[in-house]
Amino acid sequence: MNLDELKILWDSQEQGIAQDRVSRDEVLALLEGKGRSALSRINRNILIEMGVVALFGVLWILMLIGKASPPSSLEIAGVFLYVILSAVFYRWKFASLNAARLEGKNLKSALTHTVKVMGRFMRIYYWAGWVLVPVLGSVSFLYSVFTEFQESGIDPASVAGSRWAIIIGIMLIYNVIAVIFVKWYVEKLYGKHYKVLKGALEELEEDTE
Amino acid sequence: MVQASSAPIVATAQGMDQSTNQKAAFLDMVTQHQGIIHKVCRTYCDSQEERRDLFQEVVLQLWRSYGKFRGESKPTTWMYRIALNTAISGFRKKTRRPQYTGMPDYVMDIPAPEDDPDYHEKRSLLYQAIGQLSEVEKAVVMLYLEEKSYEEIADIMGITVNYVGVKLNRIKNKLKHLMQPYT
Repeated sequence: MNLDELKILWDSQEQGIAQDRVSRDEVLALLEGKGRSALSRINRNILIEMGVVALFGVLWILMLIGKASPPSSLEIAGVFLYVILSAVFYRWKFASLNAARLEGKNLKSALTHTVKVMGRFMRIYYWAGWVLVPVLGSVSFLYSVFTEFQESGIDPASVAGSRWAIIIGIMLIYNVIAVIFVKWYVEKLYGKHYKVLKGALEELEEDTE
Repeated sequence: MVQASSAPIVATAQGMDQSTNQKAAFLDMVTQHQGIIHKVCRTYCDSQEERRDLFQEVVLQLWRSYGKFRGESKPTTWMYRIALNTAISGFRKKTRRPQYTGMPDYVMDIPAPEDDPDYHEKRSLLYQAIGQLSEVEKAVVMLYLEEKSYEEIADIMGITVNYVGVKLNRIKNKLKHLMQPYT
């Protein structure tokens, strides 16, 4: 089959397309019923993600309130930093994904922009998953263990080696789970799509080689 | 006094008029040229559900960008750009099908002409062939089949006119190879 034969077949689909035609009112209804669109799904996913992050924040604050001793300035600063960083990140993510990135740009420019934005998201998530979550998680876990010892009047030096092994074991399990989860989440959210888009962009960039 | 207090109301009314006119012009344009969106949807989606979602997505993206459309290019070129950008780079939910038959559900949407009993088989071959091309190749071949000039294809895709020729040659060879078992 050559392109001319393909052209004849291509033109023959006009009749089928005529059946698919929608009226002006139906186009208007599509504009008003945004619920099914991919962009709505993305925004919904961002909201779910924000909800989970906010829940962690609330649990953290509740833990601090529920403590026997008043929270230290380091703990309060930690909560503030968490809230501010989360708010800035989600504001930026929401704006990047909702920007009219497709407004009449040619395919190569649109793909370049999308791949760049997605690459940034992925780097942030990987960095958070492999560095921030384990480091912050370990620090806060050990901090809470030492605070607990202090409040109960236990000398950390007197704690048996087997108990320390359990504490370190729990910390390691947490870190491994966190890293696996973030890797899975990023791959599921962007990984496959990112590879497809990068492949398409590379194909267009062959032009300049 | 009256003039001063009614000025914002007049401005709001004018703004509303402008917005209504803009929406009306947009609806006219999309309704008139909707064939472009349908063809992009057929090129990139196999199932009716996917096509319906992509159609809506393209209409929404067109509307979001419409305010910034200054008419530097033809409305149809602008529509092709946005439709293809949405189809290729948008986050679309793919329908999971247990078994790929290689035949989109719209192959049988029109009755075969009496003088061409192999009509449906040929159409099935058309979509099978296009389905095996890369996302970029699908866009190039679709624009070529829509009789767009090399310049227009280059403009929509963001590549050089020479590269359009190179791409089309590669696609021709690929199609020949892909369709060999059937011809």
